[in-house]
Amino acid sequence: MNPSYSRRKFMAVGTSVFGLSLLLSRCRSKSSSDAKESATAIDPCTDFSGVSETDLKTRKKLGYVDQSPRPESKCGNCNLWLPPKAGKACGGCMLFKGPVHTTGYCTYWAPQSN
Amino acid sequence: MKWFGLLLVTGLCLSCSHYKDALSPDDALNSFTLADEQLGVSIFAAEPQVLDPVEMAFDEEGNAFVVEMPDYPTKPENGQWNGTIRMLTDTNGDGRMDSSLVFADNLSEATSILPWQGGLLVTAAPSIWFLKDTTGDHRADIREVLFTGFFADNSEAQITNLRYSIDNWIYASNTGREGEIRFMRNPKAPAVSVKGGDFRFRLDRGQFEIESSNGQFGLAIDNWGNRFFTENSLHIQQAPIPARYLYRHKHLPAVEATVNISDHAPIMVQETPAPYWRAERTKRRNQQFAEANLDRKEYADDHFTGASGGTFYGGDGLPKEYYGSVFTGDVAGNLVHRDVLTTSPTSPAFVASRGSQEKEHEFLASTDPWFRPVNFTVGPDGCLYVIDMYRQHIETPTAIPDDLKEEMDFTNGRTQGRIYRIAPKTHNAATVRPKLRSKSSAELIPLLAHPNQWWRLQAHRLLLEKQDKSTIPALRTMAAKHPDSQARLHAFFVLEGLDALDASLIVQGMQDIQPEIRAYGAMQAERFSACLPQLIDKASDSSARVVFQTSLSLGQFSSPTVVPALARILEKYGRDRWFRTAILSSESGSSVALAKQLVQNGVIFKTETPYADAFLHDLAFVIGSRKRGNETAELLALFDKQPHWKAIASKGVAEGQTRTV
Repeated sequence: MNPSYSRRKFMAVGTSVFGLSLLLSRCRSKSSSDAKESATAIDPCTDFSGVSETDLKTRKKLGYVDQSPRPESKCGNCNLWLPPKAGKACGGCMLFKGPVHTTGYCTYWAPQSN
Repeated sequence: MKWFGLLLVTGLCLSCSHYKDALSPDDALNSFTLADEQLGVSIFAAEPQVLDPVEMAFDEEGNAFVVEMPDYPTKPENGQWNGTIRMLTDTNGDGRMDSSLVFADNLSEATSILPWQGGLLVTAAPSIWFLKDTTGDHRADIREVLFTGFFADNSEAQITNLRYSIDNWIYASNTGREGEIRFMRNPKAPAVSVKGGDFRFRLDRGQFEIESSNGQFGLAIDNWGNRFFTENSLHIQQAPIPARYLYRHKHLPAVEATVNISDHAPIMVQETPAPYWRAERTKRRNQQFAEANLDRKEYADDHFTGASGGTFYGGDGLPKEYYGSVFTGDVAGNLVHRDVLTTSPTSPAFVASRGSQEKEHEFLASTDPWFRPVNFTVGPDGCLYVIDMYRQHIETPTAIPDDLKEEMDFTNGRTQGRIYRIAPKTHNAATVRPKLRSKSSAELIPLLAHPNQWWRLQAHRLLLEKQDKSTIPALRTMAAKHPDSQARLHAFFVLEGLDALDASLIVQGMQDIQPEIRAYGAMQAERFSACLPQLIDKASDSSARVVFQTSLSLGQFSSPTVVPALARILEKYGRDRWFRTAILSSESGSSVALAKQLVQNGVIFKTETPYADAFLHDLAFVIGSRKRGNETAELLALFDKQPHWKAIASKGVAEGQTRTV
């Protein structure tokens, strides 16, 4: 995967996710199993539905990509990395909202310190 | 800043600003403390002659060209860019610039320049340009895009740092950002991906390629062509293996191409308190770390965070102890740090240390929080010049919480800028005018032995620009006999640029008393198969640097005779990861034949060591990834009676086989 986080793509992803969630909400059955299915239908690593336009712009401005071009520098070893919560595949970043891959990278990468 | 907190607490704060106002250039001088009392700081240029400078370069005539970046940190979306390149002039010869001319304007985020063929090469993402004045009005009328396709979304991490090196290549930093680079003078040339690396090119041969480093803002190239780069928190790094070797085949395990060579903690001795926004942001981040139970901490001050402009000092204006140092600014710390470089007897990686007089304080520190030493250059006078962007705030605004930005004006300082000269207090500040363009080839050749790197590189560049073949005999004599080793190496590469390097010169280079010249001889031997026997001999050279280059260059040959030589190198230097990678980067160095040779020699597999484990694992990984014929079985069969090595080889093979290339 080699995504280019252009605003257009974000909009497309955001719109499609929003559309999908709208479709799911309209088609929701009353059974709890269906509800579970719809909840798991959205991949949290590509779910930008709750992410503001400002945060999307910040991601782009900082040059965020899902796959770091540099093996030694990636979100997973960045000081601003927020590890995934239990059971989640993606973490987050202190600089912007939305899913962040362990393998990701942006120009603000900084080594971890403690 | 503690008093400020007290005022806030007691409700006595009547000021609405957390931030100090600017100082005049003369008052700013009083804010500096230099570690060395022999040295002094003087103003070379200041507003209104220069605004928001980020780089300065002296051309061959001695003209000072400055890149201005007033649009920072925003990017005008209307195409009304304010990036400018100015030529500064000193009309009365007192050493202080009192006039300026606009060489080029309306530039989008220009950050770096390099004098070239009477004009300037310019990085302005997404492109590298050639600008030249052909009418004599000192204003560029030629504006040609040479390369394009570089990342252009963050002005702090874009194509920059144009540097001409002794090997005739021009280097530039790209922060490892993705880009498919096209050469506009040859549209048919395939685009080159620079993802994960930097960039280098030769306009004389139309060559361009990725380079294995990922510098941000600051690229220091020493007298021998070793490159050191700056990147925010990591103030000095190196990439010992050039990309052309590192990517010879696609089967290496993930390789870390760069190394932090600082031997000291990432601590800077800062004379300014952390600005309010940074202190507050750090406090919040540390709170977030604690809430998330992360064993992490951020520091608001006294730790490198905005390292910038690493520059090699090869001048002759400062006292001898500074020669060969790398000067790096930290724009957040308002200071200039100095590193002393030393080589290692067992590794190509250098070691960067604090100067003996700078253990407890920096080379230069300011109490003025507006002081932003973004870059440096060395002039024809041998002095060190500090490029001070002079801004109230210097940070990506998107990285600062909105509430903290409310009282911050990121444009404060757009009408200011300073360039300082650091020199001995006894220095005469009169402007030096080399006027090299009118010099003949015969006059330029002796300058290859000048004690100041600036003169040597200018003369070198101009000799190649002239392409005067009549200089070849004199250059051959210089390469062979000149007492100055740097002159010999310059002559060697001027000959290379004149297409006059032959096997005899290369063999002579491999026998030079200077290790760096022997190493370049080994590198150039790749071009002549007749030089292979002498190259193999270099595997036993007394210098680790020569042996390291030999390990890379031998890999360019497919002859079976290189395998025993590579094995010898591994047995002596294999504890160093760069040597192991250098060997594995080639076909011969990652072959079953090499494994057989090592088993036969019985040296590295005699006892279990971490380095032997690592090498065998990676060798097996490559062979597993290649999936070629019976190689995997052949490799594993070598260790049938040695369970430890068998297990490591099996693991490496298995991991390599699952690799997709």
